[in-house]
This record gives sequence, structure tokens and C-alpha cells, in this order.
Amino acid sequence: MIRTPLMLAVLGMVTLALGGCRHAPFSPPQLSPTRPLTAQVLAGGVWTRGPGVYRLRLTVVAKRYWSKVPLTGFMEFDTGRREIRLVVMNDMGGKLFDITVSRDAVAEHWLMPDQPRLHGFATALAGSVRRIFLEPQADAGDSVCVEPYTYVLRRHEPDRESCFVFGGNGNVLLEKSGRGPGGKWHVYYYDHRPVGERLVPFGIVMDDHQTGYRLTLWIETVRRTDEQTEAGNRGSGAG
Amino acid sequence: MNHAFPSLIILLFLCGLPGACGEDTALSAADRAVLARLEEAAGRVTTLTADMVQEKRLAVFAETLVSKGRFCFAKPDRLRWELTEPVRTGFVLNGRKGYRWHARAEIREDFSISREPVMKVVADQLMAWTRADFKWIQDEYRITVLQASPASLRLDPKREGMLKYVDHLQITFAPDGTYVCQVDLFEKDGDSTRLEFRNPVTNGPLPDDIF
Repeated sequence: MIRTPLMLAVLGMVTLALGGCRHAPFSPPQLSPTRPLTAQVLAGGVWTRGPGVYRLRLTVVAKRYWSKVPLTGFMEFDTGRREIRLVVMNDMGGKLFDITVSRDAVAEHWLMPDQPRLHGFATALAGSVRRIFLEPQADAGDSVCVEPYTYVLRRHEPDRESCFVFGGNGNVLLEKSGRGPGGKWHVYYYDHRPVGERLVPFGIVMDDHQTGYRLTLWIETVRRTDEQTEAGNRGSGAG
Repeated sequence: MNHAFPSLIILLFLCGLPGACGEDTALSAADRAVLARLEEAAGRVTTLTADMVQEKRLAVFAETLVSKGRFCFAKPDRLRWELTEPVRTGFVLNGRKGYRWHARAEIREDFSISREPVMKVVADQLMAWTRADFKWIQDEYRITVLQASPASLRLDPKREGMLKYVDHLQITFAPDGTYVCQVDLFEKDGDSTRLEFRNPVTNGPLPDDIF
């Protein structure tokens, strides 16, 4: 409950900061005052924690400077094994590549022949998918700072720093960022909706500050295949 | 803005890629008669609209991705290809020019097929099919008539560029032969794509502003 104009101003600033991903096509999260929570509780609530097999249909827009490439993706995400099988197509259904992304490797199963630039693009996309869905993950051992409207988890390792921001309804993961040998990057998660007992973000934006490219993902449909639960973006998907 | 949108749109229609052609197989007189009948029937069509359902089957997941949209054609060279679900995207060809859009990417841009080879391939393919231009199609595919009426054709690509991806296509025509009602594209790796054209209207009025 917001009690004073000052708190309202703080909330506005926090919302602005979380919406600080400029030109994101998603609404910023609705924040509410925090209460004491541990890193273990926050990290354990992320939808990618624990066993589960999800099938997601995605629309992806890769943007670098003035160039935009819209793509369609379909992926199977085994959260228990922390592994993603991803098929990427153009929006007419022509398959461009088929890869498996794990925490520390990428396997190319199929790549459209005679497209020399596609290997580099597939590799870059795999790296982004790993950061968005797999690594790093918030952990019970992270230091936690309870801000008025958000929880910030931080981890300092010898060669990298990771930061996770939680908040909103269900104290979901709202942001993830990292800095290290692989560069500086930031992921924003929006529009969390229930899929079974988990809150899944239906809008995701990732900024890779090193290469200057932005990836925007819309989850059009998601289905948990090991429990047969389903949610979709139909209706709003027409953009 | 100069978007790179079309650079990865290699579509289903890859047969325009350069490459050597294989040997042609002569059609029987009966098969040539089927093609002549289809060409004659398509010649009577001045406009065509239909709802479109695209089903992409991914073998690795045993999963089918369904997209829906609308197809419009007006002789001689105007065409609108539009998907509306799950995402609004498509393009319009109007002679040698056109425009395309994608709602998620917030793209709406003009193009000229003389400057974009990929869109020329798309234009040539779609126009050839819509007009049942079998002279052009036979340059690209080896045709087998599977059934005379309703006509059903199997097409095996001749060009090396397309042979890398596509095993064969199966095309099914409407009973009166005036339009294609189903296209099945079978890829080398087990994936396939089905395009169904439903609720067709031939020779109806079409507003100019859809092109």
C-alpha cells in the first residue's frame, strides 16, 4: 500500500528504472512494497527452476542499429536438464537452423546450407538464449538487498558479476544482468502469466551492450508437456 | 530506415536459386492434357481470394505450428500474402514493386523486386502458381500427374539449390482446376509444410487499396 507522496515518487522512479529498457513493446511491471525475503526463496521461485519440460512458440526480433530481422522459433526447454532444443524459422516457415543450447555448449543439428552468415548468427542467438533462460541463474548463495520495491541479488565471481532483480506480483524475476569476459548484457522480463504453478514471462528483451544488438522475444504459446498445462498469447499476438 | 528484414526470408520458394537443372522427363499425352486443362481454367480467373492455413510440421518435435491468414490475387501481377495469426506479417506485390510488414518488428517498408533478388524469386513463384504457368513450372520441376481430377501433381525440383532442402512438393487443385487448394512441401530432413487455401472466391471484386 502506498502511504506517502514520497513513496509514490520512489515507486514511479523504480518503475521508470525497470521500464528503462527503452522502446520495449511490453508494459512495465506493477510493483508493490517489499518484505523480508531470502535469496533462497526468490531464486527458488523462478519458473526455470526445478524439473519441467516446456514447449514454447516464439516470435523473435533481432535488432542491430537500424536493421531488424523477425524470426519464428520453436523450442523445447528441459528445465531439469537445463537444456534447450531450438528450431528457428523465417516467418514463412522456412527452417534456418536447429540447435541445442546447454549451460556450456551449443550443438548444431542443422543449418541451412549456402548461408555463410547463418553460423555466426546461430551462435550469437544461442549465447543470448543461454543468458535469457539458462545461465546465470539466481542462487540461494547470492547476496540480497531488499529495496523498497524490489529485491536485488548480486554475485561477484573472479571474472564476472551477475545481478538479478525481483519484484512485482509473485516476486518474479524482472531483470538479469551480467558483466564479464563475454561482455556486458541486460535481460528484462515482462508480462508474467501462470503456466501451471509457475509464472512465465511472455515478453523478454535482451540488450547485448558489447555488440549493440537487441533481441526481443514474444512467447506466443507455452505448453508444459510433462504436466499438460498450456497458455497462449493468442489475440494479443496480432500486435 | 533500411531494414535487413528480407535477407533471411528465403521462404519456401527456393527454386529460383541458381543451379544446374536435371533431365526432364517427357509427360504422356494424357498428363499434358491435364496441365493444359489447368492452364486453361486458371486463365479464366481474374481475381482470387482465399483464407490461408499454414501448417509447419517439425519432425524433431513431432509438432505442428499453425498460422492463419489471407491470400489475394488480381491479374496480371498484383498479390497480397498476409498472415494474421499468431502474428501479423505479410507482403504485397504490385507489378515490380511492393511493400511488406511485420507487426512485432514494427516494420512497414517498400521494396522493388529489381533490387531484391529474393523478392523476385517469391514473386515469380507465386505468380507462376497462381496463373498455372506450366511452361515456367516445368523449367523448375519434374512434374508427375498423380491424379487427373481433381488434379494432383507431384513436383520434384530440378535445380541443385532447391534439391538441398526440398524432397518434393504435392499440389492439389480445386475440382474445377481454377486454383491451387493445397500445397504440401516435403523437406529432406523430414519436416513438411502444408498450405491450405479455404473459402476461395474467384473473379469477385477486390478493393484497390489492399494492394
